[in-house]
Amino acid sequence: MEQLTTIGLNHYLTISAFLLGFGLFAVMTRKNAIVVLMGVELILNAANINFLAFSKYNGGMEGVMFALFVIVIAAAEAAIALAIVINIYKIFKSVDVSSIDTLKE
Amino acid sequence: MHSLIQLSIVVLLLPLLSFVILIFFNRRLPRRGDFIGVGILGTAFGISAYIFWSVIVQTYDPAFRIAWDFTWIDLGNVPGVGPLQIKMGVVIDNLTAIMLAMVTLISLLVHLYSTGYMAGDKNYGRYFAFLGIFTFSMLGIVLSDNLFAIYIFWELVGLSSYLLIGFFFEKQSAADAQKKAFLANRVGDIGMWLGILILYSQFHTFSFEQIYANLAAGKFGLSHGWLTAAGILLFMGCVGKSAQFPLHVWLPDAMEGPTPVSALIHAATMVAAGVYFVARIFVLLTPDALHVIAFTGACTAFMAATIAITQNDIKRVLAYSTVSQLGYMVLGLGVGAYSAALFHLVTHAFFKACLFLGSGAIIHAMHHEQDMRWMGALRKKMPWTFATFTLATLALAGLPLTSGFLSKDAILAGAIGFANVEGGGIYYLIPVLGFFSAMLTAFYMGRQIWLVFFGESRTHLKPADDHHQDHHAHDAHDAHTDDHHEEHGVHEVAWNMRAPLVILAALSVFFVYSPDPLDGGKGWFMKMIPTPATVVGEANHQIGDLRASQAAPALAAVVPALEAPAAAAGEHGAAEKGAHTYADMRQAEIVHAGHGAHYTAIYISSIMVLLGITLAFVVYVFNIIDPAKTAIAIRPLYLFSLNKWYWDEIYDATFIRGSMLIANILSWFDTHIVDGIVNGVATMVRNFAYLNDGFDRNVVDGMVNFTAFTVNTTGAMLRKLQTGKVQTYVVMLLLAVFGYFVFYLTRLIY
Amino acid sequence: MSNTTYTVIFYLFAAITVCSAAFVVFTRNVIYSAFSLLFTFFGAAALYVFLSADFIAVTQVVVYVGGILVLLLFGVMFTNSIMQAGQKSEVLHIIPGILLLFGMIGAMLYTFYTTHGWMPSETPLQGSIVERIGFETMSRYVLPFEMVSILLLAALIGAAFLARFDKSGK
Repeated sequence: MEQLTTIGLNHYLTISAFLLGFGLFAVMTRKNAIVVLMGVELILNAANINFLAFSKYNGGMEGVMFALFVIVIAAAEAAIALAIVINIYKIFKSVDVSSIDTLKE
Repeated sequence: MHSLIQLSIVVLLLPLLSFVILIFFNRRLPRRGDFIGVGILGTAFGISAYIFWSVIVQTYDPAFRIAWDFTWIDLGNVPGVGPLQIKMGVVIDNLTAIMLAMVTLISLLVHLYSTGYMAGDKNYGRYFAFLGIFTFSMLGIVLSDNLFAIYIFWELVGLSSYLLIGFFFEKQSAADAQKKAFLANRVGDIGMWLGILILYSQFHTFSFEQIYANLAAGKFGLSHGWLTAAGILLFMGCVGKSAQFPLHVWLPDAMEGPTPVSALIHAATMVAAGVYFVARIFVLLTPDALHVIAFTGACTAFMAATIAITQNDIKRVLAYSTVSQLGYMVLGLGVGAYSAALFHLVTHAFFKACLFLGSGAIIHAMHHEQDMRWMGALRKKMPWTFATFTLATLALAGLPLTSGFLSKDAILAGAIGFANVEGGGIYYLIPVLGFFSAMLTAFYMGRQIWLVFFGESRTHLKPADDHHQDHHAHDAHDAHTDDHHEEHGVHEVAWNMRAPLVILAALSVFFVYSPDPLDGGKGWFMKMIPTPATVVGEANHQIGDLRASQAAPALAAVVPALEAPAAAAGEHGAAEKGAHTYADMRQAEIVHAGHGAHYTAIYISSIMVLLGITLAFVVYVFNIIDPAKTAIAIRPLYLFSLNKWYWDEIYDATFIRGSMLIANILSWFDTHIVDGIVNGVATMVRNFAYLNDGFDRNVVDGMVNFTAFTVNTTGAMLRKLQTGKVQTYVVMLLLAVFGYFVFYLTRLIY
Repeated sequence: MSNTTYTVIFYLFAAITVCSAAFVVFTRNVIYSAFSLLFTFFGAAALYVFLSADFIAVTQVVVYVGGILVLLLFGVMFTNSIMQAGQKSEVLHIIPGILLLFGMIGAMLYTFYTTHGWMPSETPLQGSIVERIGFETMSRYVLPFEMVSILLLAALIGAAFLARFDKSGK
């Protein structure tokens, strides 16, 4: 019970693990490109939580700064990804990732 | 090493040097290098003359002998044979010294003569190279001190003879003649080799000296017949090389070679090698073997003489006369007239070389006309040739005052003595044949002289087509034969061809050899070459048996008188005074009987020779008997002689057809049985290949195809993974990550 | 704020974050996913606050909720006709997906909980760190800061370039 009531590093890591798992699941299984992007955002959030958690219990600022940069890069990534999704839609008339298999060739 | 030995080795190697230089560089040398050949032979002759001087003139010892040898090949202890050492050595005794000088002198003269005779030939340089290797080989035979070395040089002589007979190898007849000579010699050489092996099997040495020492000590393990066989087999080498009766057929055909070659090889030296060899092995010949030799020689002498009287080719007459004279020499050895036979060898070498070179001069002058029927009246045009040719002819015919008379009479005297000792009967056939041959010799040589030098010129009588044919046949190196028929085309030959004739003719006169024109036995030669004591011990024919024979009284008188010369002559004579064998006795007796028969022989042979010459004059000069009519009158005999006793035809019918038959049988065997086996094997192999093919197709290909199939299937399966969908890849990636996790955690746990 | 209250609030936000994230993933409707993602971001921002990273939490709300989420919604609306019934998003690899979901989560949790090497600092972050972020940004991290701003600019320009409708091509 002590473990559950006293919030520690493991609690945050657990949450981040769940977020990462769901994110990966979305990336793996969903056909809709937008949802795949959402999964990626989840993964990034999981990473952020980890960074901040370690930063807090370590007492340094490195994790915080990294989380900041991650957010910025996530924004850039989201913008680019959306642009790509829109391009895909223009070309294939669909955002169904599974139907886009030109990589096969 | 004795200095004479060293010099003799130099003499031996000089002609080889000449050969090596000329065969490789003759085209780069001025005059094709003929001066090298002549110069080297001149040097060799100079050294040989010095050896001759030292041995014969200065030492003057009948028993002179020096020897030196070295181990050439040491094969150690050969299984089944025993220790096998092959030695090379040089022996110099009186005979060697004389032969050395004779061979080098004649070779030198032939070299010199060839510079004129062969001038302009396209293979001029090679010709001298061949002469060089021939001289080398001949000197090797003369100098060798063991059977093996002699055999090697014997074959080398055969080879160089082959090369020189076929020198004009573009001519079919020359190529055939060279083959014939080589094969006939081969037959003899096989016998000779077998004889060598018989001796080797007993004594394990090739050296003459050791073989004789062992024989004298009675170490010959086989029966007496084997020794006779060995002697006859060794004599077979002589039969081949010296063109004796069954194998004589090659020598007349060998006249296809250049005439100087005929003079050097087929008259003076090589054919004499056979006689020389028999002389070397003389001491081991049993009386039986000697009888065989004597009859062979007598038959040869007589047969060749009868053939010679009808031949028209100037060189062929001389060739048969050579065969005939060689028969005399062999006869001489066979009857035990050892010195006389070798004496005849030397004298014959000189006058026969002179005759051949003279005939070469005539042929050269007549622009390669060889048929005596179209010659005539050359006496005035070629006085030098005429004089020397006539002198040599007289020597050959055996007229008194010539060298031939001395030697031939010595042989015939020996033959009479032999017949007397052997007790008459069939043995008198030998001297009778000898005397008859002497008469025939005189006859055909008279015929030749008359046809060639006397009478009218008959060049215009030659049929045109015949001329045409001959012209092509003989002008191997002559481009100016168009003035063939014209009288002014015939001229005396140049000095370099004349000088050898003069020298050789001078050596055909009696005083070179003996002060007494009627008795060669008084000359230095017969004194220097004594009959060696035989080493054949004969238990079965002890002296007592001989005494019981009909010749016993003569022997009883002879034996004491012979003790002294025998002791002086042989190494064994003195030691074995009390234990003379039949062979010893017999030999000594023959020598003595020969001396006794000397004057008888002189009278008979002189009468026979004069008879022969008279007959020739009667037939050809006085035309009392017309030769053409005579020929018709005795047509069968004439044809028999003209066709050389049909020996070639007999050989053709027997040996050649026989070997063709055997060849055909073998060919059939080859075609049907050997080929059958080969084809059977091939079929087997092919069937095996089919099996293999099936294996290949089904198993090996199957494996390959299976591999391909597996790869294909795997690829098809794996291709399904390659969906092109990003998410599939992500699944794979995460599976891998998860796998890593599991792996890592497992490591962590354990 | 008592320790118990702190704990309860933490669990509350943790539950919000995890459950909404699960909903994002598992719902078939894209719109629902997008809105559920909003809660996830909020929950995450709340957790950031718990982690003494108030500035990051604010940035999270501003950037994610105000920027990225709106962008995603725009994406949904661009690519899917909202009026259509086919809003639902199909799934594939469902079996290996679920397998890996539990596998990964389980493996990570196992790793975290069996790792005894965490050595928390004696002086964890306390209170507001905005001022320290300012210092860090302008001193130690000035170069990454500039680079990330240039990256952001380039990304925006690139996104605009990629996403514009190519009229000249028609």
